[in-house]
Amino acid sequence: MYLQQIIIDMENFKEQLRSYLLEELSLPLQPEELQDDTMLVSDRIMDSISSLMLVEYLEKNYDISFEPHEVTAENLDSINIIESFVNQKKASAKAA
Amino acid sequence: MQKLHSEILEQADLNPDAVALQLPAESAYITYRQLHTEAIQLCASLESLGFPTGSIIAIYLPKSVKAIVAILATLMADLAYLPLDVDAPDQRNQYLLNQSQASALLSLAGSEPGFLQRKNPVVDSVAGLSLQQIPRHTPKNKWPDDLAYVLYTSGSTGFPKGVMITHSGAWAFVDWAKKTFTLSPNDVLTSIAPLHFDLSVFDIFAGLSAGASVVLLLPEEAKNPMLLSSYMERYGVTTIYATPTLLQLMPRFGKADQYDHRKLRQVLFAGEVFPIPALRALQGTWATAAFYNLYGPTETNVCTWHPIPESGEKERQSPYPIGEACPYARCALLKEDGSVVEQLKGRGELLVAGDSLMAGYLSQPEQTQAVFISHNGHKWYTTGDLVEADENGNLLYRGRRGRMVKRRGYRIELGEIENALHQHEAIEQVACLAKEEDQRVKFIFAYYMSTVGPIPHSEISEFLARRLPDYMLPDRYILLKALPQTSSQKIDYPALKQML
Repeated sequence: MYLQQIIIDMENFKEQLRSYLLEELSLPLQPEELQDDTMLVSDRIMDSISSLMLVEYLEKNYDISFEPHEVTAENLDSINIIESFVNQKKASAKAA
Repeated sequence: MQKLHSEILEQADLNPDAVALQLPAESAYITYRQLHTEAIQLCASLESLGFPTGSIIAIYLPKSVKAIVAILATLMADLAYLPLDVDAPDQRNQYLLNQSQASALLSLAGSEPGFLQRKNPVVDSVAGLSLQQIPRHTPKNKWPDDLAYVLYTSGSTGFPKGVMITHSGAWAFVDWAKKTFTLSPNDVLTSIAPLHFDLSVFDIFAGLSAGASVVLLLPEEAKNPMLLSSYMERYGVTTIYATPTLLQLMPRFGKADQYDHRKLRQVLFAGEVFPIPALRALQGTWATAAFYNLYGPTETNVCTWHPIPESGEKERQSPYPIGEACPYARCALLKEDGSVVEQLKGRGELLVAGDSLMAGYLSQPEQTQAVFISHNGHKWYTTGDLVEADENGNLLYRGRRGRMVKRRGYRIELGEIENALHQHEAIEQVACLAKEEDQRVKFIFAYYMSTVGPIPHSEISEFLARRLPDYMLPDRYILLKALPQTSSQKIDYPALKQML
């Protein structure tokens, strides 16, 4: 039941995240340029303040909590990467 | 004569087992004794090369214990250090290396930079560092024997300028700061600024001269307020020196209220204006700390300061003054009519004289001459900053002359970005503008004309990232069919500014 819930969340997740990145953070991209694997940090599309706002958004909306060392480009670099990181955080929170 | 590093060496005798440096990223630390021992070894290798006093050694190392050892060894060998930014594009570092006429380069063994034109022989390898001598003709231009370091700042001609600071110049500030902020072996400082940024001079030299512990943060860590919060708790940080850009993130993004920061006794900020609401929020978060505003271009080091009142002035809306001259510096105003006034009254461009002044721009005598004026037997540096004296003689910052802006505490000449963009084959014309709020840069816009239509953001920014440091990259690139022009066929910046 719980796993199913996550999967449903995650389908919406990408769409919600996409609109947050484009509309709230106003990343300098046309909607069609923002693919699931577009490298946001490595390609200098998302600056460090936007990264911090994204972390805050994910914490508030997906009930997860970043450890200080987890606020890194490796966990925030693309929609796919963010999704798998959030999944992993949710799974480990469940396990704990 | 007092050398910039002398008291650090004394600390090795006084407190040999005290921790000098912490590097949390690698869980590494070094005591004063070890720091001294390693610096002596490297110093011997540097001395064996027989460079003339004051020769420049480029330090191409990530921020680390080794980088500080390298700096200390260089100074002990009566040589001057030039800190290169390992994250900056090769092209820029290569330019700095050539322009500075550095005699040798220190890097990590096995990670020697690719930008050295020839394969220079590794003459020595000490403690994991590789020392490469750079063959040079005799330098055309002389520089001072007691040169301590060279820091590059953005130049209006499109090329960076190397600011030369002597031992006595740097020590004037360091000695004052150490005493004024009563630094002692009980203190723990953060080193947030990179070593090529002048805020690092306080962290490293004032901190270590006082026998304090200095916690080194890597550049990516310094962008992570939550990590800074956790380090402050873990190491019991007492003194922090950073730009308002970073500090104002601490209450919200640093979750400072979730960590124990009660050992923090002072917060020093510099490099840009601290907006009052953000400063108030931080004072609320860090209630145990006293706050100080420091001011000074790289060319003068810190030259004015202002303690922020603990309470009262609740109604204050405008930013606090940059304050009054430090005891080793003198301030004057250059008035609009060209006169120099030493009694600080009214408005004018800030002039600075005194012990902490730079010796000049490295190998750029014309540029050096252009920024100094003589008055009353003193040499005054023209800061380009407009100030106004309040009724107490405190100086208030009123903005910049010309096209220089500041972001994250760094000076940026917009012309230097334009110069780099002009190198792109599809870009015909370009104009960079900064959108400012509270006298600070919010965004840098690059307006361009192109032969191929719109160029994707990622393509231009990648092109620029190979030429300029990160903090200089524009936030938006906007294609225009034509750039507005003045009657004399120059780019009409005021007209563009109205589009912001």
